[in-house]
Order: sequence, then C-alpha cells, then structure tokens
Amino acid sequence: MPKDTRRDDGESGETRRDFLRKAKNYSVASLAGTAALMGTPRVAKATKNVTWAEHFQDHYRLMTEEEKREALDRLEKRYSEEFGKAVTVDDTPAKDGVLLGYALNIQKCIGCRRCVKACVRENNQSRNDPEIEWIRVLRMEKGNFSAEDMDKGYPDHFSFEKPAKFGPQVGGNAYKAAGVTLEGQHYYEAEKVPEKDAFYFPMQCMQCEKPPCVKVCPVRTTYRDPDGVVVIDYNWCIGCRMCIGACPYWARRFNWGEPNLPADEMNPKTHYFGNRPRMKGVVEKCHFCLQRTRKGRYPACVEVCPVGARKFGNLLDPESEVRKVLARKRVFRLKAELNTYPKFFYFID
Amino acid sequence: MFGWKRQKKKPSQVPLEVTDASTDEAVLPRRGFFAKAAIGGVALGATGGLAKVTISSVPSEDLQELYFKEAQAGDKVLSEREYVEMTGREKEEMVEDLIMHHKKHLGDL
Repeated sequence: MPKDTRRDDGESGETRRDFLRKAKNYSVASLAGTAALMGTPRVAKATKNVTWAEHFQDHYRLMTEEEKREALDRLEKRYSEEFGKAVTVDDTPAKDGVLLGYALNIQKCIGCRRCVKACVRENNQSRNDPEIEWIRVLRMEKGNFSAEDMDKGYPDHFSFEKPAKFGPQVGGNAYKAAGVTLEGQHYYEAEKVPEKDAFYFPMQCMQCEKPPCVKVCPVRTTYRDPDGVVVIDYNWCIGCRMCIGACPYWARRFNWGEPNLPADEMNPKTHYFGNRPRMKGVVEKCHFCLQRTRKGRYPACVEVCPVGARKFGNLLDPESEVRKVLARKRVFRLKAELNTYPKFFYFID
Repeated sequence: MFGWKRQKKKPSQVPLEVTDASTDEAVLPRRGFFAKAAIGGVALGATGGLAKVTISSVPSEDLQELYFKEAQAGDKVLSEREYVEMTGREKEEMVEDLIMHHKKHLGDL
C-alpha cells in the first residue's frame, strides 16, 4: 500500500484508516486528560505549601547561620499559615556541660499512660489514623518478686532431667521467674490502674551514647547532639527505615502517611529537631522534649507523671536527680549487653 | 551472499521526496510531523495523568494497621528481654564510661 495518500489532484486527503487512528488518539488523549483533571490530588496540610527552597534545603549541620535563619523563618511562616496560629520554630543548641539522662522507677509506675498522652500532645504527634505514640507502656504479669532470690544463681536442686523453664530475670535467679513472665501488651485497656498482679514497663528512646541508629543512617540525618540527645533532621530524612531496623529498643516510628494533626491541638512552641510537624515518609522518636529541656524545663512525661516515677537530669552533675538515683537506687540493665550505652535507666527503691 | 551490497546501494536509489518536491509539498510532511508530535505529547501527558489518578485511587493499606503491626512486633521482642540488677561497681563504671565518651565526643579528651 502506498504511503503517500495525497490525491493526484493536489488536495491533501487521508485514508479512512488514518482518520480513524487520529480520532482514536484524540479520544484517548482527551479522556485521559479529563480523568487527570477530575482527579483531585489529596494534598496534606503539612506539605501543601512546601516551597522549592525547603525541598532543596541543605543538611542542617552544613548550613550557614544565615541559611539556618532563613530555613527557620520559612518554616515558621508555613506552619503559622497552615495551623492558623503563631508558630515558633526554635533551634536552641545543646548547653555546654550537659549530658542528659533519664531514670524510671518501675516499682512506682501505675500504668496510667498519662505520659503517653502528654507526649503526644506536647510533640505534635499524629492523632488519628494513625495515632502515633513515642512512649510504649508494656503491661507485664507480676511474678513472685523476691529480693532475697535476686542474683543467687543456680539453685542446688538443679538437674538435667528436669531443667527449669526460666532464665535469670528481674528479681529472680537462674531458675525462678520473678518479673517478666508474660508478653507485654502495648495497648492494654484497664478499667482501673494499677491492676492487680501487673506491673508496667514504659519504653521510649534510650538516647544511647553509641546509637546504632546513627551508625546506619545513610544520609546522616540522625546524629547525637552534644548534650547526648539523638536528633533527626526531618527535612533530610529519606525514609529508608534503616534506623528503625537498627534500634534494639524499637523506639522509632515511621510516618506511613501524612500525620493527622488538628490545628486546634497543635503545640505552637516547636524546635527544629524536636516537635515541629513532621511529614509523610520520615522517621520520628522521643528527643527528651528538646523544645522544653533546652530551656531548662522538664520533659512533658516527667512533668505529668502523677506518682513521680520519672526522674530527669544532667549526668555530669553529681547532685542531679538522675545521678543520685544511679548512686543510691537499685538500677537494672539489660542482661544481653548491646554496647549501646543507653542513658535511660530503670530502677527500684 | 551479496545481499548487503544491494542493500547498501538502495538509499541512493530512493528518490528524495521532500527535497525534490516543490515548496508547497515540503510543508506537508513537516506539518504532519508536528501534528504527530503534538498528539504524542498530549497522549503521553494524559496517560501519565491517568496513571497517577489510577494509582491514587487504589485503596492504600490502613495506616493505623501498619503502625500497629510494627508496634506489636516490638512489644513481643521487648517483653522477652531480661534485666539484671547492676552492682555498685557496675554503676560507677557505667557513669564513668558515659562521661568519658561524652568528653571524647566533645574533643575534651
């Protein structure tokens, strides 16, 4: 079949096939275009006003002071517009001569989870679908705690024919379970706390001195600040989730979707590495309430605890609460040495 | 066997339609090319748009469920951890180590 379809009389004509092919192309294109226009993309609050400048922002530690100021101003403006209130984004650095530490009295904790809720409110965590919590309170079955049996080692009646079921645990010895005997329950719903025969074990970021999460981060967005707090530059995070896999304490949370933070519940006093609103695809975790602690205040969880189970202070100061706990109380460490040097301690009186 | 020779000669034997044609005739193939390019461009853009809409309309996994799954996996591991009481000596060493590491980090040591 000849390609040139022009008629001999000079009039430019098309074959029926060409016409139909073009008509088909136009139809598909217009239909697809209509569909594309009709589909309204779901733009989340936290990202709808993100500018190019924010997208191409450098790593915070590599920015000049001027660039940092610009970035903070940009964020303040954006958050203020989005949440309809004056939002401040602070970048107060770590204080000299401070190494922050935390101690928690598991004997006192009543499992009320007020710390969890206070943390969510203070740190602008996603509220619903999904509800993200940085503190997890494990509910444990209380064993037969016996201080006398602690560290006694193997009992005399040990025999290989009848091996014991349990290993050394809190308050027990090699063959007698005393503390942690059942699986924890993160989302327990008790009518009344503390429940009989239960004790509670809150867990959050341990702010390790040798943090595995920092070692694995391929873009160095997470690092240890001079006061010992492990921070995250949310704008630099690529969401690879390597840190989540590396953390032996399961303390990091991933934003699978856009966080759901109602404007009226948003805490406007934020810190760049702390509680400023996060975006989809980044990792977040406890940071000892940087926005508070760097201004001389206690973290929200410490402040809200009704039984005073939580102690916080400067590990470099021998007179601080946390150092006094370490000196005078019965402190626990993980049996399996992970060499992460956590700065979060569990103790009993 | 000598087919390649015959093929090689072919292009020179093919009459150049555009260059040999009159000025009016030369415009038509160019116009055709632009028309095709335009249709192609629109079709490509529209297909991309359609793909985007299709992908975004696929029901995504429940976010709360994803979060729960991770949290519960952590619960299991963490609740199986065993803790032991530290001796006085261990506590002292731990504090010393923490302070030493901190000073090293700051370059004081």
